[in-house]
Amino acid sequence: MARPTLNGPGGRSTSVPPLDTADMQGLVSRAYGHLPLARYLLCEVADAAAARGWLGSVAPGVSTAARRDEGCGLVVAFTYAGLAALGLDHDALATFPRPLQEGMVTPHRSRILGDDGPSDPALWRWGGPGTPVIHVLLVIYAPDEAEVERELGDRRAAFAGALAEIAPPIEGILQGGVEHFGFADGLSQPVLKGWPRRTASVRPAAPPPPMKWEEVNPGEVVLGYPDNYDKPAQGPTVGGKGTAAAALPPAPWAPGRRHLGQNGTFLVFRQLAQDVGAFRRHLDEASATTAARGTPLSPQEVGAKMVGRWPSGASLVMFPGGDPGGAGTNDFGYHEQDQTGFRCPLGAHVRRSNPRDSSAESPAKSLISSKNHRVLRRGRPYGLPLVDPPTQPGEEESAERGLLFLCLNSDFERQFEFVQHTWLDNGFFAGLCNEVDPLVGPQPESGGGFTVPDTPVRRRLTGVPRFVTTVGGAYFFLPGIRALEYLAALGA
Amino acid sequence: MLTVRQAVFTVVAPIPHSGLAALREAVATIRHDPAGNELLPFGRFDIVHFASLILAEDLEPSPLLILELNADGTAPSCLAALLAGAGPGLDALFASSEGYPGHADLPAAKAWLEQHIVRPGAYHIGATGRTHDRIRDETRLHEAIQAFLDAEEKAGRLVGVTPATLRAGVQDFVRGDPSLAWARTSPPRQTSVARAMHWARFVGAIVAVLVLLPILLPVLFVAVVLLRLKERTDKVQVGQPDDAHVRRLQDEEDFAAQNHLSSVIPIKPGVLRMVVLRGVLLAINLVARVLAVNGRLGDIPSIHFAHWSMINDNRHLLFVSNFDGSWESYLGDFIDKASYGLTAVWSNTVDFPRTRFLAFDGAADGPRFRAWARAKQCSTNAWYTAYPAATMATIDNNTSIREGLFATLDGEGTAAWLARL
Repeated sequence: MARPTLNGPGGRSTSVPPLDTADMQGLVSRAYGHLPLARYLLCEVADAAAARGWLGSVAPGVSTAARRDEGCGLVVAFTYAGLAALGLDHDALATFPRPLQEGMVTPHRSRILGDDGPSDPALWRWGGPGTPVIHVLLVIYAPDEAEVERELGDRRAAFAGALAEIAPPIEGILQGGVEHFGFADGLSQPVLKGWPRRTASVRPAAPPPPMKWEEVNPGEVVLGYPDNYDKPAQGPTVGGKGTAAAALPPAPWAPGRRHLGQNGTFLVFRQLAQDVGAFRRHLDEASATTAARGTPLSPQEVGAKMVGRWPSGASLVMFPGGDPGGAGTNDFGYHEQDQTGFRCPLGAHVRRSNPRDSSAESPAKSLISSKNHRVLRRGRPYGLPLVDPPTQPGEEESAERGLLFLCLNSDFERQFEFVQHTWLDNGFFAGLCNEVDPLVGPQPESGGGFTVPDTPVRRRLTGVPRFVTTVGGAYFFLPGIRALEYLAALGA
Repeated sequence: MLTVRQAVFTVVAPIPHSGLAALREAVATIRHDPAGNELLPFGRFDIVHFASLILAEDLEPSPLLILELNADGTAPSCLAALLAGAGPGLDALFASSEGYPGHADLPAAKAWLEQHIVRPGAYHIGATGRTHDRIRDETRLHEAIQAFLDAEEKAGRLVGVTPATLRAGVQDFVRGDPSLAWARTSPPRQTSVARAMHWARFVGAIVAVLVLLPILLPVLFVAVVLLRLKERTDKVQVGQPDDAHVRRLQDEEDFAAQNHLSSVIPIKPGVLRMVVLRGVLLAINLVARVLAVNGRLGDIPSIHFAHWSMINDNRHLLFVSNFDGSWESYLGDFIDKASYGLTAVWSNTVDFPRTRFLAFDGAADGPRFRAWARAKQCSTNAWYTAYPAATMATIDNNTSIREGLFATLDGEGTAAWLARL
């Protein structure tokens, strides 16, 4: 069969095999932007045989990437402990990547993810050392309250006796693609080569940007396909015997074994509390201090400098003068227009989370490097939005709100952890000196710094507090549909 | 001082198995507090930029202790300083090695250490020509100017100020501070004599190769054929490194702005690999001396000091590197920006990912190369950095600030200089 040939990220010619979207869970293809309500259920396996029976019954009904616009959506993912609890054998478990085996909470991982101080896993609500072990993550997406309650009831009835919830469901709610600090979110996403172009987002679609900024090989997210190094992204494997295994493709790198990871991916889930009150207060205070220059920045301008985009999502690179409104745009680089950061500061959040072409002398090489560290984001906010200004005093602290950060990648260390460690939490990113991401970085208790390039000389904001605190998190394996069926058939 | 010499070397000493237990203890003492420990307090030597101790225990015919030093001066002058300031500590490290006389006999101890110096086959220095003290001073200059600017801004004195006036204000501030008197001038990063010498060697090598080409060509042809045969059948690493091994390495990482990476890898057997490896290291060293003098090795901007050496009777290739940022970003740079050179070196060591024509594939196969590099990496038993909060980028920027401070600049140059602050 002829395969479509496309230009690889490195200028190489890459042959991408057809993507078997019917075997991928729907989350790979979309964020369920048409289903504003979501429930995240954290469960343990109460009875292994019953759990396998339940999995066998739901596997055919799990949303796939090939289906469109279902009435409701269901995602099923497992931690390493969950796969063991289901009865996966030791040989197979040993083929999972070390980060999944170890989980999100190790001393080294906490160090590089910025989970210290108030984000210390010892304080976490779930996923931490003091909370019950998580085995299974179920995510339910629904169009409205009635549907989400009905779906939740049905799902609970189905897994009764098989799974036990270890925490109250976490409620996610879309709010027009705007996160709680008031900025459009989810604008910049990698696009998988060979994927049907209609990508999904939690926001109304912006004009499609040129592929150059966004296209990565499918193996960067989906296991079994060529990654950016043009070799199949290797996932976990199982012994080749049995009819259940026969449904899985062979794993060419492990003779005699089958690829349990095929069409699956790895999922990062973190609950990030946002201190909206502190953020707004800081913008006001920082704005006031800029007045000493004679050219003050408004609170909105300070916020935009920290984020790297205006509230609408418009890039500071393209619109340095002010927020043009409208749908956010994504067709920009840094090298040509803003290498020095006079428009979008070098340490701004979006520039750190995706430096595009700005990190090396050669923009082309820089872009290739950046694209080796992309993640597909699938998060959404939780907690009620806070109007500005608050309708009553104390409202800012009355309820918790934040982001249910969720992303997919094929290599935790090269992608999610790299972005967090080398870009966001790195005090020396892009030649800066001891300042972390102003929006989400793990600031010291005394507050951090943020440099805003300007004429005749930089502004230096100080005392930037920690606005975002990690309150829960775990790593999951998001299997393909056939892999779900294989897991359901374990022990049969 | 006309030339700034920097010594990049290791002292490699065989250790009898009977000496291992005591040595482990000594190394652990140094590891616990590399700057201030009682044995070898690196922080008390203001010539040392980075240093490490690696105890390679499972080598044949005997374990090796590797003391890595990246320091100002020459290798002998650096060792003399260590002997003078930490003689008993060096005794604790080398006491069990054959023939080590002890620091009480200073000339003999110095001679013994010098005999065990291994000079790298290829090395890289990021901050060319910047001594330990200069790096420290220029950091202080930058901080002082930052504080000055913050105070000026707070006092409202930046309102309406032009770039030229602002720069003049900074100059006045520096002139007014006697403790910054040194900053009024700026020595070159590299003297023209040194530069000319390196270029002469580089050009000389090219001429030599061209002259010898008629003889070399048939030899090269045979070598390439033999190499291709070996490349098809050489054993490559399959699978991931041992989990506990990686955990041990990660436990040591990500505390300072820099990290350390070390490996001691068996060189593939046979004359061909030996000759090829020597040639590649020689070539890289010649090129690095003339092209990698501005802080970048190839396109990698984050390396302070790195060296490759053949040790243990040419049985092993030692690599030590002191680099900015995470292991993942360093390996990412290797893969994305320097895969040809690294493949040409490391493909001559065992289990390296599959290569073609010495320099192709190999390190370009990111996931396999990362797995190999982790598996082959060894624990750095003790590691010292003199400036844990400085990256190559900040060091170079601080130097540029000093160089531009009293230079003659036009409007564009003034704006660019102010943008460095």
